Amino acid sequence: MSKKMLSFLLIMVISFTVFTGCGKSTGGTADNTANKKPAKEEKKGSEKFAGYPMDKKDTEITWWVGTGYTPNEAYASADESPFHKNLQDMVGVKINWQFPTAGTDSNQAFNLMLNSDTLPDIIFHSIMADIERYMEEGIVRDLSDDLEKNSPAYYSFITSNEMYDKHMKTDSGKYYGYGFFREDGGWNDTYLGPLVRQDWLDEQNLEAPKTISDWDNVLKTFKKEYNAVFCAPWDRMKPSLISGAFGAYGLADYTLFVDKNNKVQLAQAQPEWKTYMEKLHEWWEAGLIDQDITTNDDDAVRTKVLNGLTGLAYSSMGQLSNWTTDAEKAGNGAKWVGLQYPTGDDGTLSMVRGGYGIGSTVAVITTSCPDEKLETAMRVLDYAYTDEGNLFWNFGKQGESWDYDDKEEPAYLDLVTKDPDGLNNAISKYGGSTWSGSCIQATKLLYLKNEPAAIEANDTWFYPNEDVTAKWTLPNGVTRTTEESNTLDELVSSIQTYVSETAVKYMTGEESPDTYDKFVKKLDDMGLPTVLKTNQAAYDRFLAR
Amino acid sequence: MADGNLATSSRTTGQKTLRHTLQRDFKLNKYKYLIILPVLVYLILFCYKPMYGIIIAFKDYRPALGIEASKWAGWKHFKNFFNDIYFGRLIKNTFSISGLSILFGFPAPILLALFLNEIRVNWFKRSIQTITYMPYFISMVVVCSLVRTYVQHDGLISQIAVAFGGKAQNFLMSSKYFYPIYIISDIWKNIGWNSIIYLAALSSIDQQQYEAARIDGAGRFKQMVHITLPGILPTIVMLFILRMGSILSVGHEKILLLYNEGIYDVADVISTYTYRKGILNAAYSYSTAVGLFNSMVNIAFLLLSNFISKKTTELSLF
Repeated sequence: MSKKMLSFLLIMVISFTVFTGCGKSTGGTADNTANKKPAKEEKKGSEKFAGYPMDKKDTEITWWVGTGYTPNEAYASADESPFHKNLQDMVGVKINWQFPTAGTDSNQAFNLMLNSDTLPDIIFHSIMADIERYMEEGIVRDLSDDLEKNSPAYYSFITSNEMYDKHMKTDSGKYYGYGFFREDGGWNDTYLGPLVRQDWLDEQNLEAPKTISDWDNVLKTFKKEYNAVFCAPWDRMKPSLISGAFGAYGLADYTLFVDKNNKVQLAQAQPEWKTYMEKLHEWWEAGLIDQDITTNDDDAVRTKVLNGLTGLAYSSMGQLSNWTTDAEKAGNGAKWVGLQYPTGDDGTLSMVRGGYGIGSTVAVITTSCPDEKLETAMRVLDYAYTDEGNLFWNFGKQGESWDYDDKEEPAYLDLVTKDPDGLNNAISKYGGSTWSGSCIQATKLLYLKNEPAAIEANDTWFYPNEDVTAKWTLPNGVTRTTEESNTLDELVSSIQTYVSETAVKYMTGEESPDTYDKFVKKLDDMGLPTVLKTNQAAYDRFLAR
Repeated sequence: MADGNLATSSRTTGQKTLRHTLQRDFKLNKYKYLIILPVLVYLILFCYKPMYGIIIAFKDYRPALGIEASKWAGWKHFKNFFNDIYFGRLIKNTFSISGLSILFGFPAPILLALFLNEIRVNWFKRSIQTITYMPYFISMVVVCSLVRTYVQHDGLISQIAVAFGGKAQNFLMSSKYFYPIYIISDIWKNIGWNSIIYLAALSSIDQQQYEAARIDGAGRFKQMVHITLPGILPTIVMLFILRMGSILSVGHEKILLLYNEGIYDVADVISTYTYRKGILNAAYSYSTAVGLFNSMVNIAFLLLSNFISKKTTELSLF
């Protein structure tokens, strides 16, 4: 190579350095530049609504979805995705779908999208908590005046239930969006819980463990007999795990809860949490907890489960379905079942992970949607809450992906049941309610989607503890004022960091729980009292709605 | 280089106005200007125009209001960052990771290039080259999941440790192993790719110098020290200065994929903390302020190392 070649290479290196430095500022805008054409205006503004599909093929609605009902990964775009294609035919309006680039964090994509010149007409994202700020800034439309008229199905649905109504309006009583509701109330909000290998329990003549002492016993036996440890995906375990048995309300995630006197508290600032951490540390020292625990994801745990490295675990009903199919394929005789949440030795249980069956995501209409299009947009969103639309959002197009069976119940057709990607995955190709959506999730869908063992597990986690699943949570519908949002933005992240790292250190013993008093003192210095006061104010206003 | 000469000559010969000079220069070098045009447009559009946005570091930016209408906040966001209880730790971690990467990661490709240069068997040289730069093309997500598998408590590294009487453990859960894991995997991924430029520099060294050295009785090691190294020194210095210009830009994707709550005390760096605080919580102005601070420190380091290098080796970027 000559000198020229060398200088060429050097120039390349320099320009790469320069370009990558600049690239950062342009990264996110690419997502939403694709479709900035102003939507065509409606020809006739006040045409009477005469059922679905509306005859409005020339009206285009732009609709941004961050997560929840983005197209199944089998499809490159909404044009290929059956759910997104079919919804346009069902409502009779052209929809211009927009999604974050695959692999991007949806919060990040949302924050960048807000900076574009034209907003989409509809946005679906988890913005309930900050909705006051978005309305004040003129991003989100106030729908109060038109909701009853333009979205009769949705209006009658939320007003039929006091809790729904409370969640879906602001403190000043304004309606702003279309939420996600579980038909089952809160059953599937408790989708996580303890799991155990029934075949091992039987072999060792053990009863299903009920209390923490029982857990001690089972963990030790499994360790001795099978060299198996407790295992869980870290992201699923770190919010709370089995806090309830200790009277605690959280593990390593900063968790706010509502105590018996309706006071908002931080889970980690309670003395019960210390007891909980001490117990986890004891298990950790005895080698009863997987030593990879904080680096485990779903796949890592699935491998460990398949290899018989764990007999007592904590995960979701969806994962239980996977483990069950894996065990059948491998023929190793493993039989995983759901296990009741353990209680304290005195039988007390302060909480079980769950909620009110109302999601934190919501579809809102932005101020970029012109008045002429408002009714159409509201009708499009209302469709999901009509009887016919509910079936479509859950199961897809009748006759294509499902039809009624002999008992007049919806049942999937071959297109779904024989899908090469598996039933569990195929469901989200045709419906929009699998994870969360602007719709009502049918319980039937969950029954069809999961293995019987998983359904049973969810029953075990939920029904005996129904009264402690939701009451302790800070409801998703609590909204904060602009000022409150700003205050919290400044304080919360350092507290989050401090709480999670201390929790892990207590568990692994890198730090002794004796420093607990210092820990609480430092939390106060970091502004915890202000954080609690701010949330308390928001929660009190919610209660007063 | 040729353009420069022409430009100066036209300035000195004719006693004309600047406008005439420029016109003449454009006419003379029109194709060169044409070639540079796309890059210029790119730089203006994507590097200079967005710089206007830096203003939001000094404002309480809200997208609905836009840059103009958002309220001024002065140094608030900088103060918040400097007063954050984690500020000291973030700076320390960022510099540690970056410093160690430079200390070990920077010489590695140079050594590899020197080593490859000494190999005379062509097929062997080519295969080593291909093998070493292949990891560069593996996506970061895959590299990190490989690393995580290797270091878990029943992983490869643990098994080797046990074979030598050590203890099985998950190395990513212990603070003291994070830096070695980070840096070794970094070297593994980048060594081949980064050595290409040094190989190019090596091949431009005049072969006659080696012949002369051999006649004077210099062995291979002497040749390396007295001919090869000085020959590629300008390249090394230049890349080093550039590397110093990104001292605070630690690749946050990799850390995000590798760290966990238990090792925040060594692994949490400015970019990951800002990611958790800024991007996920929509604190635009705060993130911009931190970004601006980062750039300032980077520029300072770039200028400083450039200055030192100019004084000591008379080699510099500008």
